[in-house]
Amino acid sequence: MKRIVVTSLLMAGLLAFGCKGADTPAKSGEVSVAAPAVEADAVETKYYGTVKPKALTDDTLTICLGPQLKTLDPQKQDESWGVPYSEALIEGLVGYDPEDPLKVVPGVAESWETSADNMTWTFHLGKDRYWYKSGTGTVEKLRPVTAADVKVGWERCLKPEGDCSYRPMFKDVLVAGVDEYFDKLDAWAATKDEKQKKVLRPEVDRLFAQVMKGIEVVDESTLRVQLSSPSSIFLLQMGFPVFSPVYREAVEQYGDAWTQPQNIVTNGPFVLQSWQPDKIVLVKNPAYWGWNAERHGVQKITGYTPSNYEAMLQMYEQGDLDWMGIGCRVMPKMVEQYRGKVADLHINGVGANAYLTVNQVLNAGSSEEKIRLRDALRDVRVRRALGLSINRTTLVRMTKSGHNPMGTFVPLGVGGHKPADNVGFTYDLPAAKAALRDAGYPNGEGFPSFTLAHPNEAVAQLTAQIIQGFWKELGLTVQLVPKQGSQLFGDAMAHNYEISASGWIGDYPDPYTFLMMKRTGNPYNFEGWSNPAYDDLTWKAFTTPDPAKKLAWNQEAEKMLLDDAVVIPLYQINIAQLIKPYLRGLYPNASDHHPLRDVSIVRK
Amino acid sequence: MKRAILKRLVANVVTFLALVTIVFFLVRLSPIGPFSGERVLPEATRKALEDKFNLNDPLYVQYGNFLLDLAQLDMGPSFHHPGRSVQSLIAEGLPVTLTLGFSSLGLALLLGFTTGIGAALRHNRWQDLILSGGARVGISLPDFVTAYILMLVFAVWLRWLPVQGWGTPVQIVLPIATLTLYYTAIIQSLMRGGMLQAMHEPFIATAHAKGVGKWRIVWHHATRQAFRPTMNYLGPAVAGIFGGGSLIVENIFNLPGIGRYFVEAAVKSDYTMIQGTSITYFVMLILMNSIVDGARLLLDPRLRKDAP
Repeated sequence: MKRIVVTSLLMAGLLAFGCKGADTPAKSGEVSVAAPAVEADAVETKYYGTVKPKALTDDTLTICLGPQLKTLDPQKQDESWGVPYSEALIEGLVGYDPEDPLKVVPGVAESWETSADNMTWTFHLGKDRYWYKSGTGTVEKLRPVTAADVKVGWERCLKPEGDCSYRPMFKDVLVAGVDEYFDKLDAWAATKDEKQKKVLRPEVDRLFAQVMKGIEVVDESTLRVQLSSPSSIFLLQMGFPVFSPVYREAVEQYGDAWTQPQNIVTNGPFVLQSWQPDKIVLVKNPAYWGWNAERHGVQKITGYTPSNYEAMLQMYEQGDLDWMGIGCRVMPKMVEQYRGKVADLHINGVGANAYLTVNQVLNAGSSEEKIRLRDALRDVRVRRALGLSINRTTLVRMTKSGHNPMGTFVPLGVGGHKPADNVGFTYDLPAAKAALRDAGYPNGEGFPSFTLAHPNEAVAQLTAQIIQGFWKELGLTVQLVPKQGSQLFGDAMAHNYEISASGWIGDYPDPYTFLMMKRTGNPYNFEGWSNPAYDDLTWKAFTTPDPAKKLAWNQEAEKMLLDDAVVIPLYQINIAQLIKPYLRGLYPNASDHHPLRDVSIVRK
Repeated sequence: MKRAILKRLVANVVTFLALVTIVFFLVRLSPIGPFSGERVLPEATRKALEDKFNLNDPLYVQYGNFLLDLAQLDMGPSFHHPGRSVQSLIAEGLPVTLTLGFSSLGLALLLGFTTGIGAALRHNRWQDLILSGGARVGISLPDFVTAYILMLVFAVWLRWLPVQGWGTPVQIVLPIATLTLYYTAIIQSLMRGGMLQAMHEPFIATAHAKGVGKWRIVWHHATRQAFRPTMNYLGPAVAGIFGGGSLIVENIFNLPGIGRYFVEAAVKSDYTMIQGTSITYFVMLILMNSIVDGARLLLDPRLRKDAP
């Protein structure tokens, strides 16, 4: 749900969705040579770094997934580079197939079923799921994981004083009563009036109790969850860390410090050996239920959490690092240079986009110039002209960011989505000029001065400058305004901008995670746009279990958004990672989700 | 003398209190709050977080608690590292930063001291030209350039040393070398300048006239005088280990020191961490300046006489 600073995925939050789009990697076991671009000229396979096979005795996986980890607490995990470590320590209710993260596999729950109306889900926990303590260096087996542990994990997040940033996910997956409860809770938190607060509190407590009643511990190993409406993403999201069980005794005893190495109690494939600012070390938990002949993992995982990725790149080249991915990004320039030339560099599109947002509810005050600008930006012909005049291919090439030019809003492949034919923006300067002329500004004459806000960062600035150049072709002069990331975002939410760079990383594999932003009154509806038909369609599409209907409705909604030029799409985010060819079980995918338990090292 | 020290002590405490007070209020004046990230936090979540860190208390209560905690050496929980206190994070990183800082400063003192005197004694001869030229280059090259040049040569081309990391003795070589080169260049220039000036002092001429040996003049008479500029530099230089040079070097070589927290805390408006890193810096600065002042008193008898 975190916004992205255009092109800078280092700032990115969680990517919690997947898709079966064109970018899904080949399904055969050989990941490292499966990149399609390589196959074309794969006469002699070249690699970026040394690929000397590991020594027979060395079963250590050395990786870099991003900077220093903030937390390992599943309920508080909101950094994409922390998720693999969190999941490796605390296993979620379900797990994911490493090849296709849209496929759910057993986790703590070994099976599950849903009622006929798709609104009641029952999870059966495996009998061999246990908690382990490893603080002393040896792995000590504690009691089994119970349904109550799951409920406690959820309660930590849901309770009125819960402070996990992914709390809204409970609303996204449509857990019964959460919507109403959150509304009341937010009203209670927001009011400054003490009397009002006192009146609201019992109501908040009642609604909370009701929500918790819908999350039912049937017996030690059975959990039943009531939804408010059928959800196409509920099961899929159950592997998300926020829905994980916790060992409540440890949480009660140590508070926030329960995830420190000496205190932590885990149930996953690995245990925590050490956790320092610059690296985290996990060790295989031999007693974990899920090990078998095929999935045997590695003995040890050393995860660097550095500040300087260039040093990491060097280590990868020298053979001291096996995998650079997620938040430990390969430099764009390197991508440009090596794309398609080496077999261990993998590039794939993910569910994240970059676009320009145009304020339609500009607070013009009494300034005549601003009133004219507001009226101009409200004119769909102006917005279309702005969008049609941008050559996205040139933009991406000039910034060397390696992303996918995209004229539509929902990234390709998110939840199986593809845009309808002939919607969206393509580069068409004559059409743009005509649209601007029709709007009453031939060759940009008489157009009020306006600004484009962008993140104060090199690539974002270059992007803005290139767009400035495109608009000059229309005869428009735009002034660039660099802003700090959170200020840019805050201003956009407050409708305190004219045109602004923006972007989004989806939270779950459904187009709704993008389309919902532009629904009436949504905080991410920076534009102040509203269309009841759009609101209706997007909700229908989100809650239908029928994939064909979902696609059709989403396409229709996206078309409304693009025909009305509410947003000016720029590109879909591509990610690059370096994976040594001797690693197995790592599959580049659109969710950028990689369970560590499935990774192993081939030694020949 | 005693009164001077006492006065100094009181002044230090007042300075320290003033500084921490300014920091306390400044961070809270920032328009970007600690939880106004890029994610829209629901009102209730924000409130829960603010309550947890007592940010909803009146400002004077927060300030009072801050001072009370500080008196017990408690800098509070870090906003961005749940479950960790600021002092525990700083305590974890401090040994790394101190090792890096003091070993490079120590080495630089040794090198800079000798080469500085050497250059001064060979004033305007080829030895001086080479040494001073080297120092000019060393001063002009920013740390991050030196760091990458060393990394390129020794870690990438020659592969004698590891690129990054902390823990084994070989990993420490490049970071220390980077900082040492920089400090050496400065100390050498200061020593050389100080020495040149000292050699022209009347008391040196007197010593010459009295027939004192050349080396005795240099070591016994001139060096004391020549060392003063270096000494004045050392106070801020030691404090600068926290925040300046080591910050960049730690980041380039991925060292787990406290340098990273200076930037991270500011970017993320982690109030308690900003306070913690600032306090660390203030304490070092005040402490080092006091030590330098004390040392000056010892080195220069004139100052002692002047003191009331």
